[in-house]
Amino acid sequence: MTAVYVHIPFCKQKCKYCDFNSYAAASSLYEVYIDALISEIIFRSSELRDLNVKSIYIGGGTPTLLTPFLLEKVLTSIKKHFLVAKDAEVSIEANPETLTADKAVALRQIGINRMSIGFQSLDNDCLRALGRKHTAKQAINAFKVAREAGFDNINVDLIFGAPGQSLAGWALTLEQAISLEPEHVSCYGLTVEPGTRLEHEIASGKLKVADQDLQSDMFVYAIKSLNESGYEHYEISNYAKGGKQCKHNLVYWNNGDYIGFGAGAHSKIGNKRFHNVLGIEDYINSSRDYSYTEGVLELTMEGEMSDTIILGLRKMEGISLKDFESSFGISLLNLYAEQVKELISDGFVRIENGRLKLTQKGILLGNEVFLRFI
Amino acid sequence: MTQKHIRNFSIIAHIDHGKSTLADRLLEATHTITEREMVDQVLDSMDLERERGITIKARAVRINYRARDGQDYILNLIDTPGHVDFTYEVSRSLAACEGALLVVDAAQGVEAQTLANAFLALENNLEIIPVINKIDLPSADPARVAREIEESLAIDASNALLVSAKTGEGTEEVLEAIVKQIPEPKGNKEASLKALIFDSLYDPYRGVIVYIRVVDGSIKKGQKIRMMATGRVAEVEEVGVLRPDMQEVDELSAGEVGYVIAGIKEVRDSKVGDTITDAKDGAAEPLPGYREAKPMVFCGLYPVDGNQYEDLRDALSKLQLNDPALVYEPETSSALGFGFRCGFLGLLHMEIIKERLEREYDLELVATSPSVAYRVTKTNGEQVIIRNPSEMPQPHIIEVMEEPFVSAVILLPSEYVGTIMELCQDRRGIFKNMQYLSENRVELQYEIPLAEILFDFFNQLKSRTRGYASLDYEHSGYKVTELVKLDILLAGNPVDAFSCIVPKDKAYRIGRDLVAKLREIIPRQMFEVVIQAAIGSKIIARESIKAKRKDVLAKCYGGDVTRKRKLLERQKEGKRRMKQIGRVEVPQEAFMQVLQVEEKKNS
Repeated sequence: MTAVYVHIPFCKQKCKYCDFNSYAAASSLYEVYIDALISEIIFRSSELRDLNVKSIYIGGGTPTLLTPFLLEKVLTSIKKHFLVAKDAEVSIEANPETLTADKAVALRQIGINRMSIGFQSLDNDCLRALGRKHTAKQAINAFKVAREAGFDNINVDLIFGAPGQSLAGWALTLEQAISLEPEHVSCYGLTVEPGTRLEHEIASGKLKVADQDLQSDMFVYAIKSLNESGYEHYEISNYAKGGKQCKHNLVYWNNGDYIGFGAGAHSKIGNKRFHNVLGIEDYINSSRDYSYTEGVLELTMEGEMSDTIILGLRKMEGISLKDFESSFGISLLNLYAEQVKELISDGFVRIENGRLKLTQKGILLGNEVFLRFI
Repeated sequence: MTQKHIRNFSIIAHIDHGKSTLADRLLEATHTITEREMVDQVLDSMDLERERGITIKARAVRINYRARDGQDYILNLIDTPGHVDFTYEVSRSLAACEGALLVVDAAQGVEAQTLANAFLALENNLEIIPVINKIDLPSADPARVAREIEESLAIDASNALLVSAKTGEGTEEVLEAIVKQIPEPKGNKEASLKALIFDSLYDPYRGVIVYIRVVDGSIKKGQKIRMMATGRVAEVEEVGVLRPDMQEVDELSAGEVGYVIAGIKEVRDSKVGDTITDAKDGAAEPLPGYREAKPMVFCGLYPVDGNQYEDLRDALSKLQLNDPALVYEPETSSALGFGFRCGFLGLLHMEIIKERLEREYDLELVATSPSVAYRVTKTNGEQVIIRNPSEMPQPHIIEVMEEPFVSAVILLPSEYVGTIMELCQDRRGIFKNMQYLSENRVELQYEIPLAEILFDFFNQLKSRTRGYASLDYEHSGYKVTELVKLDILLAGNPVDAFSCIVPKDKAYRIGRDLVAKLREIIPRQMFEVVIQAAIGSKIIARESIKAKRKDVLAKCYGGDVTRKRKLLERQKEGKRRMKQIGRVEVPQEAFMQVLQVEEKKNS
């Protein structure tokens, strides 16, 4: 089972905290870019057409900047050249300010069945501090529009620890988001990435963000509050209701195979990881001679085992020790005997029903755990 | 060439007043080096020197000059190191000369280092030629600077040369003044050999190259010579002059400056200030002024990676070949493992050695906070020298403790006198004298413990006077003070590498500042870490570092895996670079930084 990722690197304007591969580019490039995407899909399908695709994820950037017509061309091409399951999960990321009622209906019509809306916050001060271009009202409105268009699998992205945010402020955003009854919620602790405007504004003293302790309190609060509202905490930053976990992202955490199309998109097929050229224009140019691929990394078995553990432990259900052994022919507990023993005695992980998983303490200090398997 | 046509001179100046640039102009104007060979500041050949803009090792250059009187002269320029750590080396270089150019910046005027070096020159009975440099600067005020020279040094500066080493203006006049004003050497060629060693350096191919000024007699190839202080005997393989490359000559005789190669393997066998004489028919008395270079500052150097201990030892022994002032002996720390306690002339010397070890020998080092050598007299009368706080005897067997003092000269604009006197007082300085050099320029003299000078004194001086003060000092011996050993405990366990010897009446403040500083430097760990400062068994300060609560990558999706792995790898490398003390991970800089606390807080 394979996942397909499509990268749309365009944004109206870059958010302060963002260090993703995204550009505020001229809309004249949109069509050319889509053509290049389709060339890549066709090119790669000659080698990979037999893979069973069970999820497609259109991310960005801001995919909803593009017309549904352009997006449909991409989906049609994927379906034409790959074996896409009938019940495949087809997701798109949407920014509140670009989602209109018509667009939502159109997106539903072209076969998209899951929508992830970038709320980030429902507090206008926080949104401004993060450099977001929408208001809380617009976010809520976007959600309603999606629901009315027939989306029955909606995620909202939230950030905690935004500049100026208090624990009470976070609780309020969370409560308002929950009251909309999304099927899925992602809660990310704000990460200040090097080179972003946010980093600069913090360094220069203009903005102040939550310290470790406050972020920690917010995280713990989110887990508790979402749990009480019927959401299952299934990955460090992700919560789902009624079994609507994100199938696509689970492929990543299960260290499964995926193909990424578009500028800078990453793929993993078997023991190979590779990614495409980063820049939009470079990517478009590379479609002339199909020279999309840039870095190919061939993983050793050690590397694969390490990835499997680090990614797998992100899931609350953890890693099945039996599955690990049948994949690699070696027992995880033997291979990392020392590390696991220490982690258990320090209270970071536990073994339960044949699975190795993080404890509550381990969730908050995940890096301390992951480091042992690097 | 007769002595009548030889002039031996130095250039003395405060840092940045243009000594090296002037030297370059003199070499250019006399075609000692062609323009093609001209690299800025020829005399500073070590990379580090060039980067720091200071001269560490003295060099000499022989210049041929046809003067306006139509006669040919040999001018030997002997360069001097420009830092207070190397005062003794400066004095030996000056002793090899009959005269000196005193270069003073036309805008900045006389500085402490100008004074210190000028006094050294006067002590050696040198003819001093005042040179006011940088007259091209808009802020140049040569008349004021000339007055300062006269008032501070009692030298006639009415005929001071006005030059711009940058543009070359006045270079010719400088050369003429050297010929006319500096006396010729007056040695006796027929007497037995007496040559002053003013520098020596180790060359991996040729062994030690000894720089000498022949005072009496002569020296040539095949001659058996003896170093009078070390007693070392050797046979001369080559003598020559520096133009500035080495050029062999038949002999060097009284008044001349050059080099000698004599199969000497280590610089310590031919120490700066020693006298070379003939092995058979030697001089009865050496030249005056020799003394052993004595390390004044000590610190522990430890490899981050314990496996590099042997490499560190090799590197130290190689550096010592060229630098007898560097001393070291093995030392063990329960916190840092195996390393060396090293002794240096001063802080700059220490920094240079550490940097060279890291740069040239590719070592990663942890340096403990520098310390001076304390003298302890025990109740049984025994005297011991303490170079490492861990050697300090138990308080009840200490009769008296002494620490090294320096006599410091500070030159500053009068408006800052108050704040600088306060600084000196705070550093346990003993006021000696205050003198107005001009209506707004003051010379302050203090006796200050060397240990107080070591930590950020210079930076404080600069920041409190907006950069206008300058400092020079010389060691003035030991004085009795009240000192205690301050220990630092991490999670209840004393960490020897953090221990320090501090004045008793400052111990509480230092202890408090130290634990507060460590609280900032040491990252949060998996558990709460208590940091304490103690004198003996008495805890005088306590702080705690809260346990780490959150450290987890928020996102990890398909595109992220490689990047996130790299982040984790970096995090792991960061941990690896920390020193594990018990279960506490301590960053390396903690060991060096601890004692710099106090000053930063005050500023």
